[in-house]
Amino acid sequence: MLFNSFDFLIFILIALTLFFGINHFVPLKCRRVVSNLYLLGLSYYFYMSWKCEYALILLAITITTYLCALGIEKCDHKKWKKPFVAISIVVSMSFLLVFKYYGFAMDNLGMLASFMGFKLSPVELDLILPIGLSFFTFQSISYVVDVYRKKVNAERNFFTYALYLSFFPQLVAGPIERSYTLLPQFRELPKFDSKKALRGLNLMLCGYFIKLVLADHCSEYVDAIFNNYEMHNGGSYLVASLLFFFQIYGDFSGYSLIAIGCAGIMGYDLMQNFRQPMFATSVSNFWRRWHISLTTWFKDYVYIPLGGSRCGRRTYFNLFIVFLLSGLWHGANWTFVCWGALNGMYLCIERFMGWSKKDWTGVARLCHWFMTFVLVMLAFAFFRAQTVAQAVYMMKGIVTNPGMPYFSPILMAYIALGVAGLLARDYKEEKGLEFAPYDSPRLAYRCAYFIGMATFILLFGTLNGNTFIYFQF
Amino acid sequence: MKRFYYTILICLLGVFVADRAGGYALSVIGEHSNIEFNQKMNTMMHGNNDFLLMGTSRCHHHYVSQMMIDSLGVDLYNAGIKKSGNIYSFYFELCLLLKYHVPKVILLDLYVQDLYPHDTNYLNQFGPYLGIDDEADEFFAQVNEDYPLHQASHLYRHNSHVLAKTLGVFYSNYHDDHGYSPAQAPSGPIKLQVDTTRYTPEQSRVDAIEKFILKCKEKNIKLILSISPELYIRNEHHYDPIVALARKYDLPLIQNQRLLIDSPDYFRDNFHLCHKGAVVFTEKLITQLKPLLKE
Repeated sequence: MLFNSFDFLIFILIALTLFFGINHFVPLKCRRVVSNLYLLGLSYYFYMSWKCEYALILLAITITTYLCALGIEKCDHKKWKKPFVAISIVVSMSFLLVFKYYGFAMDNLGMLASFMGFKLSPVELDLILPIGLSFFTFQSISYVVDVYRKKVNAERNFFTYALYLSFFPQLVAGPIERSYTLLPQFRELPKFDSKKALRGLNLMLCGYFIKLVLADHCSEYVDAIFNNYEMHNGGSYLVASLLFFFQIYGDFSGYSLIAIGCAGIMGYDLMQNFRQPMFATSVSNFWRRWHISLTTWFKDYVYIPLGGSRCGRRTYFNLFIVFLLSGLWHGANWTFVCWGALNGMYLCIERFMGWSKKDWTGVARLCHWFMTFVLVMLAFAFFRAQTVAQAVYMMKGIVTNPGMPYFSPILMAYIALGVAGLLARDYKEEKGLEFAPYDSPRLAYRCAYFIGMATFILLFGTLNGNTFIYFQF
Repeated sequence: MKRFYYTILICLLGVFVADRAGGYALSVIGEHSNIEFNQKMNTMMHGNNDFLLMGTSRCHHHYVSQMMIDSLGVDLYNAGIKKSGNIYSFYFELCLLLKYHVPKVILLDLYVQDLYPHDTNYLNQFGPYLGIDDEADEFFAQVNEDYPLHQASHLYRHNSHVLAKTLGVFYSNYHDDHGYSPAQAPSGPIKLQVDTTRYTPEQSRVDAIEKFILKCKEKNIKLILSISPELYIRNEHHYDPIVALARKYDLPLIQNQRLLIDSPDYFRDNFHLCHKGAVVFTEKLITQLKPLLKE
């Protein structure tokens, strides 16, 4: 059930009505338990609407990490805690390795073997990657490690923990929540307040706007060029790369806003996943603003354990490895590895030049903003291309085969509408401008705003259920 | 939370009212819009032409209407609609058309590729024409997963063309040459492509064509199937599904898919002829059509 499907609209209307019903009519004594059980059931139903059997994987990871965390807390000595951490990581990662990386690894081993002169015939598993696997795997690992680090107490109530791992707004594409922020919210009754709920509704509508008006229209152009790249020139490659940046930004930040808004209506706070990345003036600054929940996850659980930035020259290695892993996390393809490697390389260069810490002003700021944008955009071309060869061909084409890009005026008008909306929102957030028509004290203004947004999306959005890019990860 | 509940309730009501009012307003705008899609749909439905050419962008760009009118002496209209690259569109269009008049001859340009599974999004552009004919609506509901959305929202029915349609009140992109529109010449050389994959047609798409054929038979419309040129070398069985259909229903089938395979200059891309290619193809087609029309 996609967030942008008609089914989800019906689902969320019914789900929220019942949720509010429970939180108003169930006796206070058992309200929290009933509310949590209801949300848990809802989340599993939501997940099972894709493929029923895959809920067993979610359940297996939940049980393993729940028990391991309890085991960690029970052990007095650090020596005895480590096996529990190892077990939970191995179990969680094994699903990811089998479902996501087995085919990729076998293909590459096969190629390597044939290159060395012998034949390898690996068993083909033909598996479909369970939706959201990478997200809830990372969320479960972070919980176990946090318990191990005594940052959080192990959750005693299995259902509360299961809800933490499967909470439907963020189950399939994040934000990858931390146990110390989300778990405590399930331990008490959700705090309803109109302001928060209206803000949530506004975030959902903004998310839909960005996804349906911007990202999905960009995808029409991007697909046309990337899927038939041999028929186009460098100008089209450049425009397609630029629009892919807007597509992926709109697609993923749109999803995140819908998730955060949906949780917000129910009274729960999810972490911010994007913080106006288009305003970044360095690549490192960009990564502090883009997919924050994943970047901070890698920082907390990989970069810092590797030694972080306090180990001299090794810091460059740490940075590079983290981005290489981040690339691999996104997908089992060399294109993602290259994307990660490129970003790692950018960061190493920036660190070496000392640009990441400087606060640029004036023209220098503009130049650095432009350079960051171009570098990030070009790296994303690897993210979208089917093969590394295709990405290289297109990058070369931008320089060697310039020309008028393929142009569709109506499509561009839609995209311009979307970009204008996105930029206006980002600018407002970046500058901290106080403009919240959704929370106006006058009912008429509030309603006019929401009705305007909804009709705008109905008219200009692509509502035919284009999937979210990050669902494949 | 009362504040939130009131807002939600009033918004739901407001969206419903805005949706119906907006849908109605866009229908009125649509009637006065000069964009190609509207013009073609309107002429197809209300033009009372005896001879209709139906198909997708390939039909739109391949059949030079004026040449056919001059040579065959028929009242003809090229009703090929761009981006209707979906076999389902044809039956929907036929149902709408028959609501207003019955042509004597229909030449249906088929692109075999359209029989294979691909997305059905193109059907959404016909959303504004829902509610005209029950059979068309029923068929739309059957083949388009988005139908519930079209049912729920009248604004959404206009979604796919809203900007063009509104701008179309002020300007026109319609090339009024009895429906034919010449495709621009390519910006660079076009290479012959080879795809020898043997695809399996999707049964529901074959069924849709069969429905089209049966409807024509029921209304005594002479139906001619045609495959126009492409710059592709296909699997030898690629065209079998259409040949089988023609045989099954005893329909004339004109096959020109390889007619210009040695002349890449005649193509805009691998699927579409440019104007000079269209002229060569139409000349050939006229000679093939003459004996069929005499019958």
